[in-house]
Amino acid sequence: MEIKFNDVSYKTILKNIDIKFLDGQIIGLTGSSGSGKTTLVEMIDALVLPTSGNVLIGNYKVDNKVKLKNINDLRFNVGLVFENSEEQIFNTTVYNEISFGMRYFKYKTDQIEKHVKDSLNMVGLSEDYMHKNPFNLSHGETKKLAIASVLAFNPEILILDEPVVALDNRSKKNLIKIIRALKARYNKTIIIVSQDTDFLHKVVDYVFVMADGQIVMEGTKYDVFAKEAELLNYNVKTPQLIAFSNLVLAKKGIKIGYRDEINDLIKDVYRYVK
Amino acid sequence: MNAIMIRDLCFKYDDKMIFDHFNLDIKKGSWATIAGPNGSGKSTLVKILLGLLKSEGTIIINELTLTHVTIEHIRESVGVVFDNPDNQFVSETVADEIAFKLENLGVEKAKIRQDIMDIANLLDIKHLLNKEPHKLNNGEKQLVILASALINKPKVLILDEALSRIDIISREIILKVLADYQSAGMTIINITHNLEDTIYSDDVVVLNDGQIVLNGSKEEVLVNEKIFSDLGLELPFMVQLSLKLKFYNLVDKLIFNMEEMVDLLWK
Repeated sequence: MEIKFNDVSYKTILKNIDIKFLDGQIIGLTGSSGSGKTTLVEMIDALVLPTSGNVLIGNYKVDNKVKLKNINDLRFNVGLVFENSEEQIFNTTVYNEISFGMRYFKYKTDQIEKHVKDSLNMVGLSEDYMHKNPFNLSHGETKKLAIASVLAFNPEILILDEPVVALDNRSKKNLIKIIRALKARYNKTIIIVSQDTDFLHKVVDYVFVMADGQIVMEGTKYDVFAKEAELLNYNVKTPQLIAFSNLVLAKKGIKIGYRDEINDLIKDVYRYVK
Repeated sequence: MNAIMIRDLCFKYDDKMIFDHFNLDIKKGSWATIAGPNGSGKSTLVKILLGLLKSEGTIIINELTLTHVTIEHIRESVGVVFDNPDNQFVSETVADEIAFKLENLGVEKAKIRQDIMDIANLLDIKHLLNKEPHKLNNGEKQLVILASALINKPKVLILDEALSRIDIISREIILKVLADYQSAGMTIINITHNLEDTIYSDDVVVLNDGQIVLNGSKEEVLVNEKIFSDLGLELPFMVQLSLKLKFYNLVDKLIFNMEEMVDLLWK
């Protein structure tokens, strides 16, 4: 499902946002704290309504006149996992938490249990978790539960706001796998908000950079992440894999190219040093 | 000399033994990283050190044995920054928040004002002083909490996943400020699951299931690739790069600085 922001402003937080998120793409949205990233993605779920302009999400239109009925239809298509996931959890068992969305969107009862198990499986939590109390889970487990709850009702658009802050490396790798699978198998549009550009570089296709409520850079991840000095102006760190290649070029005049994985970088280094 | 000595620490939670005769020393004036996966006991350890959880065994902090008599005195000499800043604010403005500790210690007003300006300049948060803490973004909140923790120049500063939400510029400022405090004698303990932070520290302690798996200088500890991978912890980028290049005999030790690495590879 394609998302288009048409000259969207919100109070003083978002200023004339005019961008498009393409169907089936994994999109990274980065920028320093307070640049407007979270407000921008919350608009896709109509949690925040534009002061002016509108957002088109497939056939849905979010503007300051949008009706509640349309909002509910829209939310069936948009899964949003908040940065502070513990704030979006309110059921007393993991099963009820994950099935809440499906019950709300009137899934058949016999389907619900299967979807709950599948979703737990996808995020790497065992079925034993179904009867646990979500409020007794660790920070990392809570994040996984929040993601499972959203995956369970199979939204067309998945938005993850700072998904890796609380996750250790094993969970992070697992999440990267899930994101890739969702794109490859189901052609979902996935938007990842993160300041961790090393993580974004591993998983996204296209990147937007925000500063002070505006989109200041956009392009493929290589185009955007290569511009180290410009990124630094906006308080964004260049992924280390890219920074290394940039440094070799700047200091030694050798172009070893940009890589997504450290093992590929090593092969290049080996080839050029030998 | 040690800033912190833990001897025979035992702690149970819900009948589960979290620490069983646990021992650890943190050298005075050192910067130590305590790393471990989610659920390894890192945060529990912090709570025990602050006397927030009751445990058995001996804990000596800044030469005082932790008891219900010494606890208040010990807390004055230990600054702490937790992961979730929202739970830590008590005041209506940032300036009041930072002043809180000094006011409780009975420091005079003029001195408090001066100290606030000094720390605000250091951390580049002067523009936030009159704002409400709750209205700040996550990165700014963490800076304010850090300022409050540093304001009375504690002998020990404990960061509990405190750098995870901070953007790169603030992070660089913080790391530089902390290095200065360390040179002035402060002991810094950074508790994290993000090993990127270890490259700034002297020593690294790795915890798993309430036990010390590795303990030593960062150069000694970070070469244990297999152990980190088994624990699901990602080594810092520069360490991964060094270890792989070492495998191909292109470098012979860990190199933490990217420029140094490039110069060494293409001499």
